[in-house]
Amino acid sequence: MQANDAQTLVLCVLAEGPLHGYAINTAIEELTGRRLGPGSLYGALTRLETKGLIESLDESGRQRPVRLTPQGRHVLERELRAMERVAAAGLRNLGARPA
Amino acid sequence: MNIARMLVRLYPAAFRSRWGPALEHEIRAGGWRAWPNLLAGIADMWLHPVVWPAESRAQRCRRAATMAVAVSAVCWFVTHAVMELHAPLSARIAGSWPMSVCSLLMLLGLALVAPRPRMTRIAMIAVVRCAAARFAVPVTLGAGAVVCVHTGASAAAPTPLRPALFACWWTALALAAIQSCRIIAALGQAVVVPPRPGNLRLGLWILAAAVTAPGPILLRASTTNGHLDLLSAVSGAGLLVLAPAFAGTLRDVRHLTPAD
Repeated sequence: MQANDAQTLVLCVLAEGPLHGYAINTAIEELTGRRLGPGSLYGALTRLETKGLIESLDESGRQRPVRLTPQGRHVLERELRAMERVAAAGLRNLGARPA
Repeated sequence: MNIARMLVRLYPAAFRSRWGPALEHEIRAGGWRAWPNLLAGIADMWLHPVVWPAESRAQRCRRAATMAVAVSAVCWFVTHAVMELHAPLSARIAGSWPMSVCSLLMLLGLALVAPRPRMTRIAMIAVVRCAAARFAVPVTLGAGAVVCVHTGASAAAPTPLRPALFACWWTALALAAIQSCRIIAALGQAVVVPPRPGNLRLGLWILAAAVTAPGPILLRASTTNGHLDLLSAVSGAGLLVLAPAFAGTLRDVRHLTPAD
């Protein structure tokens, strides 16, 4: 996974709690400044569900909220720790201070 | 029907039933600027049937098998069409050992990935009934063409009818390939046992090799006489494009969780 990868972004915003598709994209827009395209967003949701990292909750109206599974939480934390190490090393090599 | 709903209908049914209304809402909000990403997403989903929402791991394995059979059928059809429609090329490579090895590998791969019927009377009847219904038209068309050729009726037929007979034979082959995929997709868990994950992966690797190899063979044969034979070259290049379909399916199968 990468920081701008659609699946990572979806996992990141779901870490706060269950959301439905449109709300996930709004949270991603707040985080990165741009929305994911519908093909990317629902492709990512489908793949994450296949991997067992998210699960669907009961439908509410026309929307179906999803939430992180314990495995999804574990995978996200592991990926973010790896990214954190890479970011820290890169910033150190650049001589820049971490934000 | 509005455009958003029409675009959603291009997705596979399993995907639509899970995300359809939410996706439609997202398309409406995004407007036409969202369409390129959406079309890429639709193509992506059709190329990865294993990741579609499913009720069980067995269903995903059956989808992987259907995908493998579909890609192999396209490869077999293109290779044989090029060899039979293009006589000089056919004479050079049709009976060659690399093509025979590819055919054997394809049969082995198909045997490994194909779901097996359950050994019960009800399951056997369901499989036979489904196969009979699906293969009725292609078998009738193919048998008609064969009978016409062997009885000499095709030689005696008026000239305009001969291409029709030829088209009949190739239509029968194409329909048989399509129906094989539909049979695998239609038979449920009560009737067939999906391939074991190990067999499925091995079968997919073997089919990937069997499907990819004819591409370079056709490409090589297309340039051996010092000039380029366009039909063989395009077909060979087309077969090489099919290989990533297996790579994607193999990657998707690896991600299946045991609890699925």
